[in-house]
Amino acid sequence: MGVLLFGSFLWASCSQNEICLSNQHALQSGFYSALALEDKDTLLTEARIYGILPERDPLYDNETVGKLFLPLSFQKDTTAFVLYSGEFMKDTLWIRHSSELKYISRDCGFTFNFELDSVWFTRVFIDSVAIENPGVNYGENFENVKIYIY
Amino acid sequence: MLRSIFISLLLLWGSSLPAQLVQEPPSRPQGFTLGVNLAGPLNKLLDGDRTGISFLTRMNLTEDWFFIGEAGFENVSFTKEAYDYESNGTFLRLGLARDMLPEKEAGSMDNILMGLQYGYALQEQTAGRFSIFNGYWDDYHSRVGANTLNTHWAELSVGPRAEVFHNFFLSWQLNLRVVLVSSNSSTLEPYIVPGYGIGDNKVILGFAYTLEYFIPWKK
Repeated sequence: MGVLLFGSFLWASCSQNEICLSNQHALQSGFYSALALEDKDTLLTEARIYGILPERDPLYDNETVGKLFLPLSFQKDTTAFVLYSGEFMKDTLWIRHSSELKYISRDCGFTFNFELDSVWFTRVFIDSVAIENPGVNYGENFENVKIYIY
Repeated sequence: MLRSIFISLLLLWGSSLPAQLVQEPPSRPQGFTLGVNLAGPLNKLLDGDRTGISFLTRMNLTEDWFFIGEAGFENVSFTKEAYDYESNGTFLRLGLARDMLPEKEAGSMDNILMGLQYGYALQEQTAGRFSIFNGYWDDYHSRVGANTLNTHWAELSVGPRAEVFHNFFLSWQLNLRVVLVSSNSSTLEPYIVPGYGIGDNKVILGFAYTLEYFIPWKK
């Protein structure tokens, strides 16, 4: 009988809650020197960066940044950002992507995973852009895009 | 324990007697049980979103072998920030179990049962609403329509069973369940597979707590 009662105490050990991750739909990018022969990370000073179409609040406002997290749109296949360095140096970045609806888990529900297709940009202080890892996926932590600046 | 030692000593003493005087322990009556598995109601206590119960029968095939049949239902319904979910389903479990108790005391119907079962669940599920929050751009809201899915699994079970009153048994089992095949074609994974457990896991440890009444057909 004791063994039977012991069994009832085992019952409580089966349930566990998962921690859900946030900001998993943001493209990760880093700034690199366009003047170096090999990849050398650099900083964008007095950076003000915000989304456009439609215009949004700044993600970064008068900051010095080496890495960027740029959230991608769920509704559109192109997400655009304006990048200021100082008051007058301005470039625009258009990121074309496809998205796929994914079920994460019973606790966290759904998310979108993205596949980067191409990037267009203006050339004021940006020299070039390279897509390093095209997948922007839940639970992954990779640099997706390298931005080479003067 | 003392009873077991006493019976063992008795058997040892008995083995020195002439063969014609040795008595076989009386065989257990054969029959079947009708019972209820309380795993469903206990799950309801731990997780109010789940509602289910199942009924079972256990039949002596021989002294040590039992056939087990179980059927039940489990429904799930909840509203979360991320999504609303609803699932209705039924399940069936069939298999064999063997009594592993090494020494059976005379008159005792107690067992330690180890068994292998096959499980099948049929359920319909839907996410009436789900939301994906962006935090910068617009959030996304949509729904996943109803879909029907089948799940087949194998289950290894072990646990004791005791006759607490005349012909009335109480037992619990630990169940190691492994999904064999699932026919889900939807983006949505089942929150709970009826009779199996958490739908995200392909291998799972389950539990059963059963009350059974024994109906003998042969002494």
